[in-house]
Amino acid sequence: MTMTTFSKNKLGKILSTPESTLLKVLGVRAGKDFIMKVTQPFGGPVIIEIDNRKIAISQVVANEILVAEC
Amino acid sequence: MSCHEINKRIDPNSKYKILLMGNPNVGKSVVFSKYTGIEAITANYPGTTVSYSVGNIVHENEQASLIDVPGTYSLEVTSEAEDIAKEMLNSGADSIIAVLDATNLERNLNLAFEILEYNIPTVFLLNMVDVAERKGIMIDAKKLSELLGAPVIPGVAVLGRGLNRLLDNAYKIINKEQPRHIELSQDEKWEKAKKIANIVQTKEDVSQDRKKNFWEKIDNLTVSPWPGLPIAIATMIGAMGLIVGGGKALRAVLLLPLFNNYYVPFMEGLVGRFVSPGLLYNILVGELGFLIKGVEWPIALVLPYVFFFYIVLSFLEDSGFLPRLGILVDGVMQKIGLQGGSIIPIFLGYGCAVPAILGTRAATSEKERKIISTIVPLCVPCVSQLGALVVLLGDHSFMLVLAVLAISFLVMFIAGRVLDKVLPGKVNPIILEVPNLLQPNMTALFRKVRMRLKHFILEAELPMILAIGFASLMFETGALIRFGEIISPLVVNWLGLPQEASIVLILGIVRRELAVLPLLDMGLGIRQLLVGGVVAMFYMPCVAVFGVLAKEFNFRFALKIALLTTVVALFIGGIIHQVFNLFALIGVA
Ligand SMILES: Nc1nc2c(ncn2[C@@H]2O[C@H](COP(=O)(O)OP(=O)(O)OP(=O)(O)O)[C@@H](O)[C@H]2O)c(=O)[nH]1
Ligand SMILES: [Mg+2]
Repeated sequence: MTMTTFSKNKLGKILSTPESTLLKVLGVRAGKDFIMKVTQPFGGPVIIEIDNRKIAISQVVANEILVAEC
Repeated sequence: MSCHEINKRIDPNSKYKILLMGNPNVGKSVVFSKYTGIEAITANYPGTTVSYSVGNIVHENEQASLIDVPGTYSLEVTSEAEDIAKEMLNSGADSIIAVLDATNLERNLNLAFEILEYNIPTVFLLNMVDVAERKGIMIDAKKLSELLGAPVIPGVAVLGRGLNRLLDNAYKIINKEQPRHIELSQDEKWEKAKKIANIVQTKEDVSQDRKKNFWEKIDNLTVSPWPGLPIAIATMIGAMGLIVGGGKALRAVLLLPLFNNYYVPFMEGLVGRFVSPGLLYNILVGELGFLIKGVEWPIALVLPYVFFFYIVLSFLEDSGFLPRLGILVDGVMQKIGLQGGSIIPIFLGYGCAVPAILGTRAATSEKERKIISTIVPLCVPCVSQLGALVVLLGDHSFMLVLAVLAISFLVMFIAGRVLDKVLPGKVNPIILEVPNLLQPNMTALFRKVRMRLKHFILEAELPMILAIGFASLMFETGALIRFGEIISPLVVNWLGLPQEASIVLILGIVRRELAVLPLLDMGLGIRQLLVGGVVAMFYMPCVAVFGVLAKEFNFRFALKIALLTTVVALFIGGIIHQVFNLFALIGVA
């Protein structure tokens, strides 16, 4: 399942991400847990929480992030 | 890279060089300001500091140069600002103060390991422990220090807590033998960061805690469209109301009476004593006298709005509201080839285009930099110009101000779309860290407003007086009339403005508000006000902006922007006038 289709307020685990330094350093890496917060309208980003910090990720990118429910 | 800016040179008297490093938005610039007394701009979003600055500190009678380095998530470079950070590190230092964010330890540790690999003596500031505490995060600094093999000092930079001990340590470790740090692969660093964070950090559940302050309570609400979007809109309307209302009140109640009742008679009396009525008298204190207008325009008219604008801007910066706004509008920004994070430099542009253009260094693509650096000089009025526009148009009707702003948004939208099509490359989609929503520290906010006001007065006053002096010379000698006659097809026929309005096309090059203010005393009708306002809004960036464009990109790019803004200003202004004419014709027929 991709991150964009993950349901709101659920705890998930990241399986794989596209190659991106910025994602990695922000903690969006395979094996990390996250909480899906909300998806912004008009094709805006998804907001997830990792390590107590909120991160906005474009849907284009989030579509390439594979995740699973915890 | 240019090194002509101030605060960049290392004082040769300094014995040591100390780098201040860390992730973006962890409080480095706050520490820098506290130590050096230099007021570095601080704000609650990543990418505030995009170029390094140098300050002096003296501790135990030894002077050191402290360097505020732009924040980096890692030393793998993703933006120009991070590139600068890496360069600084490669050029070496006597010691490093690395700032860690206690609310986000694991991620911060990754950079910590990368820094330690340089084997430069390093001391850590575990900052923001106040915020961490409220979030229920406790960190054992002693344990962390053992595991890192370097001193770790817990502290709260905005309150100055821990900073003395930190500086002590930063000096003490210089020239000390360092434990050699073995190089780890990137994955090993993540693993180690996780392990260490788990050991030193304890977390208690504070979700039910009533001690949470207002900001922590609304933190979550502000990132969802509902109620985040209404909150954002209400905030923006409130901000505009405060600027326009507060500015007008300050102007009417305090500054204008002071100016008209005390300053003007005083100056006229003073000059009258030494100069007899005539050309010189008029240039000094006449209709366009620069001792009069040079004070009335920047101080009595524009400054009140600038003052309230800076309060609002500083508040939005320090609370962490701006990146949240970026997230909410990302969908719209994509339509003009940008991404939500671009809202921050654009917003800064309403203060001044110079920091806005410099701020694009934090952008991750050249295309994004160029789009922002084009639309800011073109359709974002700077605060002085905004103040001038409110004076010119708002005194007639506030609707006029809104109309000019609406036109500017429309042009911004069109320009963004066109640039997105014609510029090569691609803008990276949004990946943005949302900082904690923080209650702005009032002392810090007050100091920031004061520093910005000081800059405004220093920067505005001299060019203003020179420009007005030049204008009054042209006015009094009749040169202005001749110039007006030459370009009257443009100004009178095409734009429908009086001939003397041609002066704004000259003065507007010096400072943007001077494209507006001379129109004040020309008794313009409502349509002329709209045309004049629109022309001024889009017209040329000031010389300072031209300079920064030439430096950040190249001279050709700056020239292109100057040409584009002039053409767009005259074109749109003219179209508006001609449309009014057409309506008038039909009305007559
Ligand atoms: N509550 C609290 N706020 C802090 C503390 N230290 C810094 N801040 C705030 O955190 C925000 C970021 O501080 P800056 O000094 O601009 O951060 P920086 O590390 O220079 O950031 P960049 O220049 O973007 O890399 C500002 O709004 C500060 O007022 C602290 O100890 N406690
Ligand atoms: Mg900074």
